[in-house]
Amino acid sequence: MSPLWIYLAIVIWFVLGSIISWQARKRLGKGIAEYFLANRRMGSVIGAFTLSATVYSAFMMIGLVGLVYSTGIGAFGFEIVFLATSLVLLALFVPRFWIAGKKYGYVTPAELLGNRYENRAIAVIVAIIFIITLIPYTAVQLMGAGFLTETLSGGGIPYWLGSLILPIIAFVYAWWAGMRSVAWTDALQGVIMLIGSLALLGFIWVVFFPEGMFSTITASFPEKLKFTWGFNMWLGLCLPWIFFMLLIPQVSQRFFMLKDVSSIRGMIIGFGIFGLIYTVLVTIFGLAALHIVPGLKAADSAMPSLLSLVPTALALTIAISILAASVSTINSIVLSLSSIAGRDIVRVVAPKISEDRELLWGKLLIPIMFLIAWGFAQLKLGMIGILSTMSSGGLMCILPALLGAFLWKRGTAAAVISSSIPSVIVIGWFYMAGLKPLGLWPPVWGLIISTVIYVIVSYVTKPPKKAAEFIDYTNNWRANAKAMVE
Amino acid sequence: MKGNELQLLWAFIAIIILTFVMPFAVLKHTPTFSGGFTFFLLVPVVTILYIAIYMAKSWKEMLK
Repeated sequence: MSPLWIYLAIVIWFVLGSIISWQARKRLGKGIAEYFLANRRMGSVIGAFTLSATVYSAFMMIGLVGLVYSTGIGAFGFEIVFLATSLVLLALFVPRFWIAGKKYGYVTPAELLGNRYENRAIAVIVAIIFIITLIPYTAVQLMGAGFLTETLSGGGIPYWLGSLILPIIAFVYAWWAGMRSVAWTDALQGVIMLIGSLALLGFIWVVFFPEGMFSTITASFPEKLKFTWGFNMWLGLCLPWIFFMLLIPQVSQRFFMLKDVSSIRGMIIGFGIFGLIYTVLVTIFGLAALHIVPGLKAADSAMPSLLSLVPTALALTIAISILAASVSTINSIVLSLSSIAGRDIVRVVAPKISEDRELLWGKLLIPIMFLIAWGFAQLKLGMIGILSTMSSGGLMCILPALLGAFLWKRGTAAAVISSSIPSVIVIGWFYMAGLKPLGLWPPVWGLIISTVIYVIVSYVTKPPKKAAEFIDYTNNWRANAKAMVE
Repeated sequence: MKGNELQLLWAFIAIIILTFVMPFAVLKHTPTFSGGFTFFLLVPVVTILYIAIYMAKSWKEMLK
C-alpha cells in the first residue's frame, strides 16, 4: 500500500479527533480537577467508551491476534478471565474509589494510598512505581503502531516514524484540553475500533471462508481450538490481568471522574459489552489468520499480514482503528502519569506549591513521558503480549496495599513501603533475567512476597488513625451516596 | 464488605475456580468451537447479566 494513503487516512482521522478535542477545549475550566478529572462530571456513555478504549489497546489487534495465532484458544480464555473478573471487581471497588474521591478530593490513586496510610512517602513510591512500569506499556503501543505502518506501507513508512506519529497525536489531544478531550476523543476511537473490526469480520468471512469459517478452522486447525497452555503460563499471565483494572492508574483515576452511581453502573455494563464484542472479534481474527496467512514465523505480524490482503479502504479503516486503540490508551496513560508526577511527587517536594504551578509541572512532563516511551519503543523488545503483561505484572507489588487500603484496618504505612519496594525489584529482576523459580512467573512471586511482608509488618506496626474512618466511610458508600443525592 | 457485597466476592471466587479448572480438566480435549470457544464466550455473557441484575437490585436506592 502506498504510504500516501496511510498519511491521508491519518490526517483525516486526526482532524476528526481535533474537532472533538476543540469542543472539549471550549469547556475547559480552571484547576487540577477540571484538567485531570473532567471536573468529576463524567456520565455513563463517555465513561464506558473512555474506559474501554483506554483498556483495549493495540495489544488486542496486534498482540492478542498474534497470541491466538500462535497458541490458540487459550489466549481467548486469558482475555476472558480478565474481562469477567474485572467486571466483578469493578462492581465492588469503583463505588469505593468514587465515594473516597468525592469526600477527600483525590486526584490520583497514589494520593489515595498516601492519604489513607497517612504517609506521603507512599504516594511518592507508588507514583515512581507507576511511572517505571507504565513506560514499557506505553512503548508497546508505539511498537504496535510502528510495526503496523511499516508492514502496511511495505517499508515506505519506517518503524521509527510510524511509532512517532501516535505520540504526536496523543500529545495534542491530551495537552491542550486535558481529560475531557481525552475522554471525548476516546469515545470516537472506541466507535472506530468497533466499526473497523466488524467491517473486517464481514469481509474475511465472505471472501476467505466461502464454506463457513468455523467448519474450515475446525477441520484445518483443530489443535488451535484445544486448550494447550500450561498451568504456570496460565497463572502467570492471568494473575496480573485479573487485578489490572484496579492497579493501573489511568483506569482507577477514571473512577474518580464519574458523576453519580448511575454513571458507575452505565460505565461497568458498557465496558462489559464493549469488551465482550471486541475480544470475540479479535479472537476470530487470530483464528482466521491461521487459514488466510499460514506459517508466519512472527506471530505479531499476523494482523498486518492479514491487512495486506484486504482492499485498501478496508485495510486503512482497520489500521486507523488499531492506531485509535493505541492513541486512546497512551494519552490516558501519559495524562494520568503527569497528574501523578505533579500531585504525588512535585507537591511532596514543594508542599506550598500553588495549584497552577502543580498543573504546569504536570503538563511539562507530558512531552517528556512521550519521548521516553518512544525511545523505549525503538529497542523493539520481545513479543508485544509478554511486554504488556510485564508492565501489569510489575504493579502486583502494590496489590496488597490497595486491597488493604479499602478492606483491612490493620494495614500500615510501614507494611506498604516494606512490601512494595522489594517485590517490584524482584518482579523486574525475574523478568529481566528470565527467571521462573519453581516454574512460577515473576508476578506470582511478586504477589507472594508483597502479601507476606504486608501482612507480617502490618501486625507488628501500628495502623494509622485514618484507616478506620476511611474504611468505614467507603464500606458505607451506599448510605453516603444516598445522603449525597439528598 | 457488607451483606450482599459478599455475593460479589463469591461470584469472583466462582469465576476463578471455573476458569482455572475447566481449561485443564475439559478443554484440553475439545478441538471444536463448541468446546473452549463456547465456554469462554459464556463466562462473560453470564457475568455481565449477573452484574447488571445485581446492580439493578442492590443499588436501586442510589439510582433514583
